[in-house]
Amino acid sequence: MSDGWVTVCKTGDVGREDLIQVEVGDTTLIVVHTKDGRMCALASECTHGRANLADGFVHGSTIECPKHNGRFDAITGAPRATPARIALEVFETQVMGGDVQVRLQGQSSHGRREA
Amino acid sequence: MRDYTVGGSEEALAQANGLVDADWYRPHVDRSVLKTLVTSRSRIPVIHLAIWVVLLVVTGWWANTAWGSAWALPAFLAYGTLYGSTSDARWHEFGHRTAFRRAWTNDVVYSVASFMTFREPESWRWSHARHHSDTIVVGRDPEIAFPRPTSRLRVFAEFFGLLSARNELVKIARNMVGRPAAPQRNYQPADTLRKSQMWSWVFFLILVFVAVWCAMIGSVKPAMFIGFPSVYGKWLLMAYGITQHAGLSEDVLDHRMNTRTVHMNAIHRFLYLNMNYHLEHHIFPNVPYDALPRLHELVKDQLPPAHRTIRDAWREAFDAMARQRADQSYSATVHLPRSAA
Repeated sequence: MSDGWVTVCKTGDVGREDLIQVEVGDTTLIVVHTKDGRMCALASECTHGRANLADGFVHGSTIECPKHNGRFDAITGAPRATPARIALEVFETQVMGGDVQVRLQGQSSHGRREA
Repeated sequence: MRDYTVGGSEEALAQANGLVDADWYRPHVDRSVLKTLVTSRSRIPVIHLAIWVVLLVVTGWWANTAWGSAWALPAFLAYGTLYGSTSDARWHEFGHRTAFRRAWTNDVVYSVASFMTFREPESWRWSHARHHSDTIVVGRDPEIAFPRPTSRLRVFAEFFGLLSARNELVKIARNMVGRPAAPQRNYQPADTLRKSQMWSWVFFLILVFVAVWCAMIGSVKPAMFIGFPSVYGKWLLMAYGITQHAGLSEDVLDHRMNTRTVHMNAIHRFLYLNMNYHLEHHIFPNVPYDALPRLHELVKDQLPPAHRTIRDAWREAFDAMARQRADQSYSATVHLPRSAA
């Protein structure tokens, strides 16, 4: 670990167009491997309903919630289809020597849940 | 009698009992297999949609040419059923955005099907999301079709879509003037109500246009093609819809206890877009309809036995609803497999 970067998994742990759940301390994240090969880390809880996006699916670079089919952009966290309307929190991610590393200071101010 | 109003007195009870937005039972399915079912898109939905549109056009042409003759009866029965009943399955599948890959293409079909089945699309999107969060949870689920006790009159009226049409007319009227009812405001975010208002005006103007057209030509014929089929063509939707949840448990967190899967033949499955696999759909709403038969094979050992026929499901549902008239706590018995109970 350096400069706040934490290794959360190996690149090979996440298949192309798939995601896995990882834990960093008390924080639960999803690591998404997009169709074009990017690795992204986001909050694991859907901002719409109480659903764990780790049970969701990836289409290209879009995450689909397993509960209500809401969609989020895996790179920006932005909602792409209702009922998702609030962006997911996105975390800085880098790949170093086959390790996927995440820095927990959120890039965005999004990530609150709907009331 | 329980208060089925969304946001009514039962909502606090549901909340206190941990039934709101809760975790539900999920059978085990290997993730890689599930991922394949969810992410693989076949051409079947495109082909099915094309066939459905062709059937609408052909039966519509038949009804038009048969107008005034005895053949008009079967012709309008066919056209109206396709329009008023089978549009519901399209509304549902495209509402979940699981038929096509792109969200907007699903949304186009969803919007058209919403008008055909006469549901204002924005509010129903949120209503249906709630139905999936809190399936048959009293005070939370806006889509409980058979509140207990279910009167025979209510069931009969719904075969003609009378109650749902009346309710939707009221909802549309309230949306048009920006005064949605409290239950709608309970399940629909406030900042989406403007969309409901817009869609309500669109629906209203289409209906006004059809009414003016009828008045100008002195015939009800245009309304028999646009508008009225949402009512006179509703019977098949009701026949299918009864199989989904009627007579089963309320206030549970296991879809196996409140949702049925029913075997249907290929024609019914085309008309209904495989929603006979309703239990599998509720547990895994991301799985496209054309993959539901494969999903059923994967999980059936963990689910109650599927009903063999529509009639078999009706028998159970109508029997349970009859008993509920005397004992509202009664629910049809579900036999869970021992290994997955």
